[in-house]
Amino acid sequence: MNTNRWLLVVILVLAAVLRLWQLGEYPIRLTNDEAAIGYNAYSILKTGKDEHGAVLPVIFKSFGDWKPGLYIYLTVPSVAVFGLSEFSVRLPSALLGVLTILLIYELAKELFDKKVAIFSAFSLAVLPWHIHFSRGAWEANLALTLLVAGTLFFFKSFKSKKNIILSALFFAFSLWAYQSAKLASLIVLIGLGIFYYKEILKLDRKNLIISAVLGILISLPIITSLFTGKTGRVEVMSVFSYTRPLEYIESTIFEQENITSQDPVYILFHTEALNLFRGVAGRYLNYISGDFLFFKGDWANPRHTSVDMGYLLFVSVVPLLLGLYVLFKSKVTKEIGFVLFLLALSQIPAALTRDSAHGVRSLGMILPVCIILGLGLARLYDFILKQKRIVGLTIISLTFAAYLYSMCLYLDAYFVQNKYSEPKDYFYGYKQVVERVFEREKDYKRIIFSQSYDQPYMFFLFYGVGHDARFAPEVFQGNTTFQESPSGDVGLITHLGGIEFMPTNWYEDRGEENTLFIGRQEDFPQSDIASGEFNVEYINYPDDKPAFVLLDRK
Amino acid sequence: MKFLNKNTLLILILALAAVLRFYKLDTYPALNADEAAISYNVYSLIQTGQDEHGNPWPIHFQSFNDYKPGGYFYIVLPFVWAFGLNEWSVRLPGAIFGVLTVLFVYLLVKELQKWQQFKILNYKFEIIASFLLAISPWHIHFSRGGWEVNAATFFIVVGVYFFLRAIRNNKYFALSAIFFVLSLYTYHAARIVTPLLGVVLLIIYRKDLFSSANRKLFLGSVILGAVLLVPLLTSFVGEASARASGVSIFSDRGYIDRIEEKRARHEDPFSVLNRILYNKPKELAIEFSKNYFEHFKGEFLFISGDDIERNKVPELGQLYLWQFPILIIALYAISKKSKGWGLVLAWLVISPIPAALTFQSPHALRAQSMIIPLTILSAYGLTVILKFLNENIRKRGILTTCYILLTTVLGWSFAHYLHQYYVHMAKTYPYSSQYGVKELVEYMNENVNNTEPIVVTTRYDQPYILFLFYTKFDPKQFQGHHILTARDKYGFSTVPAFNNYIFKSINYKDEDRDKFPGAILVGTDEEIPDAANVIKNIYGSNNYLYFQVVAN
Repeated sequence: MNTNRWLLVVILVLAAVLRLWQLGEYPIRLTNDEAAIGYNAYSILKTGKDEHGAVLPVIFKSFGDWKPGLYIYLTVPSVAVFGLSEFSVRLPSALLGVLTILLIYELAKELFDKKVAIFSAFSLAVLPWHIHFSRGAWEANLALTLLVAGTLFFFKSFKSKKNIILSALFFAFSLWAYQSAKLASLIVLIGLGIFYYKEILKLDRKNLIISAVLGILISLPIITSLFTGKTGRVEVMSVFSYTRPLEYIESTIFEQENITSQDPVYILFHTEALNLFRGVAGRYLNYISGDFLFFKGDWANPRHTSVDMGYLLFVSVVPLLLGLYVLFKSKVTKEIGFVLFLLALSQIPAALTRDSAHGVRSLGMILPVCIILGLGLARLYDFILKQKRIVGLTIISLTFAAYLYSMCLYLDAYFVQNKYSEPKDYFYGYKQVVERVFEREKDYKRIIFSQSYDQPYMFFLFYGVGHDARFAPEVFQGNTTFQESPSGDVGLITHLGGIEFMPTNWYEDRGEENTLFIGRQEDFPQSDIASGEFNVEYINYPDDKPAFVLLDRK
Repeated sequence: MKFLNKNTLLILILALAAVLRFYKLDTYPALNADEAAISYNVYSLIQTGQDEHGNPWPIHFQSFNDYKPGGYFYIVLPFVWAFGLNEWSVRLPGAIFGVLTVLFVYLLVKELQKWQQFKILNYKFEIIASFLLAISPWHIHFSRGGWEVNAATFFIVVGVYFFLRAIRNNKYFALSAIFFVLSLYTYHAARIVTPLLGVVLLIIYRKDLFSSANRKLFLGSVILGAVLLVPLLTSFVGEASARASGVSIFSDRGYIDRIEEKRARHEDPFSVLNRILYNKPKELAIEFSKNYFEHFKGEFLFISGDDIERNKVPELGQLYLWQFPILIIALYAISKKSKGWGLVLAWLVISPIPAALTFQSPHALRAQSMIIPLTILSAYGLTVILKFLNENIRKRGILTTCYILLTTVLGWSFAHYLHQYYVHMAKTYPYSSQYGVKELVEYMNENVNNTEPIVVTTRYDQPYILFLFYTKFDPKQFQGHHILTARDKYGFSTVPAFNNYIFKSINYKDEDRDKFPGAILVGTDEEIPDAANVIKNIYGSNNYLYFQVVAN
């Protein structure tokens, strides 16, 4: 094997260690989506149906958020081998993460050369953004793998014609993986169409037609879902569902100017369309801000980032700027044009949703970003080669030290600091509280668990499957108490295996004997907790602040 | 365009710049406390040779104990002397500097092209640059008012311009040095920007500076500058530097707590690894970088602008949104052919440094000198587009359509800005400036007998200085007859009373009704209950209710 191969193997091993080490233990909590994915995979494995009893669905209803099912099916073998656990739910994503690095290597090799490829692969291997979403059952990570694979096999089809069919399959299946992937894949496809239309026209007609037909057939179930309301939370998340409240417009614009919405001044300067455009532009720019990339990450959803960390290593600022410079300076070839195109547009799908920043929906940005980092590092490498030996060695040592230092900071944030930042681990404690309920439940007539959109029932299913038969899929499927949400958003389960999930109606229920109440601390009045009338047990976060309280009358 | 010669265009642009900067300059926005402080201290100097607190001819003005750099005060001085104590005299110099900056950006860009050979034939790059500065929201905002920073930015531009000229005609070195020094006397942030810019100039033009022809005059000018700086240095030691370091990231304790918190999460908080990962230099470096990048955040530059209401226009960034693609195009073009761009790019890199060293970032005021490189880059981007259109589009109809589109986007943005500035700013941010005080003092002058105690709310910023300003109170009667409170947590002091005026927050029911019988109480709408004997409601120029005057 040549040096490049060896280097690639080392990078893949590094990537695997970063993604697989203590995968079951870190992150220290399972999210409700991870639990749902795991349980549905288990349900498919045992019964061929999902939790709601649907036979082999393409889109899983789950909490009413309609999860595209590909990741769940990929989890089935993992659950079959390792049993239902944190590790088995997360394993597919971690392996896909490692695979993506190999794919990026091949893709960057097709686009540029082996040097850029190896540096791109390295950049992806140590990219906090990618590590974070490879460690956990994040469907978007699967969509990213498919996106990169689809792009790669598109390029490979220039040399071997059958590959175009593979490419079409990958692109089509990315829709089965993640809702936001629709737009992300479309953008990549448009980019390929613009910059490589000549090559496409030269492709074998027959294969091209087969790919198109296959692609459309596979996407069809997802496309039809757009019209049957199974789009999950696309409407809830879309920026177009949010307009300024009328009171706001009245108090700011109408009152200040003494006009109505029919006034030309309003139409010229204050329309909803303008406001939307400004919002989308602002979010678009947020994704290329220092805060998002280096200092805060996804500030709107702390669960998507590590404490005080952005999505790139601090040291990456150098290869990023250098890579952009290379990209701008180079003659505009098809390849450069394509990367520039992705760079300009890959945050659009995320910018069209309501969050001011969102690390998951913008995951497609990883593709252009790690190629640019690769270009930057390759440029630095060329620069070092031109220097005198001693200068070159100094720069290499400094670069290495800077990477090591940034990486240590990131790992410390991920493995140590994250544990103590309570709001981030919002789901921490469910495993512990479920186990505690199983230990204590025989002493009570009623178990009342505070209802919430955390979907506590799912944690009972996930951790209860191994405990007793109440939580087995075949039992649950027939007895679900799922209640649709009136607004079409996610619904709730009210009863499960003798456990009631209901909003705490504390002042009516507090007198109930033989009842175990479980909830967040704020669900119960502090005066009652302290009154001595109740036995109080806490489930604590790692920083010893209470996550859950269990109460029953003495 | 050909039928107008270039000077006519420049004159039109300057006229436009002047209209945008002088129109309603005295009344909109209302005078703020800092402007009143500048005016009144100058007034006091003219009358008595001492500032409001009795310091003779200071270099830093004590004012609210924030020790304002004195440069702008002395520029305002002849205006107050000529036109009296009013809004015009404190704001005129700022607006004039604003217009002159437009002129000097024109000259500077022209000079740059002579030296750097990035001239793009026939596209009047310098005209576009001066035009973009003339309509720049960021520059107009701080040209309309007594903002020291705008004067400092002007001095820096002129200093750089004369420096470039001096390379061919070395008698200009002295002028360049004088203007650079002036910027240092005028604004804190310039004390970092100007020296760094000097270093950059030194590096870029090192060969020309030390040529046998230039060497003597250059070094002579450096010495001249150094000598002129001596009074500043002697004044800066002590209170003024204390104020400057008081707002710096070093004085904020937050980062030390963060270090301790993160270290404590490890088994051994003082392990070597822990010390390497979490320590003061590293946290400060991160803090600085974070602040620094805030100034390049899209949200700040193109969408919402500064966080501080006084520094911005509602729903607008510091730049127009269309400048984003234009700036990207400029950077793209520069990457292709970077020769000669060192100075402008370095200027852009340097400008946010002082603001990033303070804990309020981004900061449109402290980083205002960014507008010069940003405008030059925008102009270049626009020039590149025009050149591209003219050279590549052969069909006249399409070319015309492109021009119409461009003009529409620019024209609409400009109109939108003016609309937001003149119609919405004062109403969306009613507390961004001291609206209502002028109307209040006018009413009091006419209707209230001066001997009664007058108790005025401190709900709005530094009322005492605005009362001094609007009543043209005799400085002799003020100096030595007032006390300055200790600094509050933001580092500012105020004067709680002078003559028959008392400034305090009004607690009508429980305290002030009985404490000040027969006095005039002036409070906000919330402070004054309906039952009180309100003799007058005072509205600001934006028609919002600011004060209720109560005869107790």
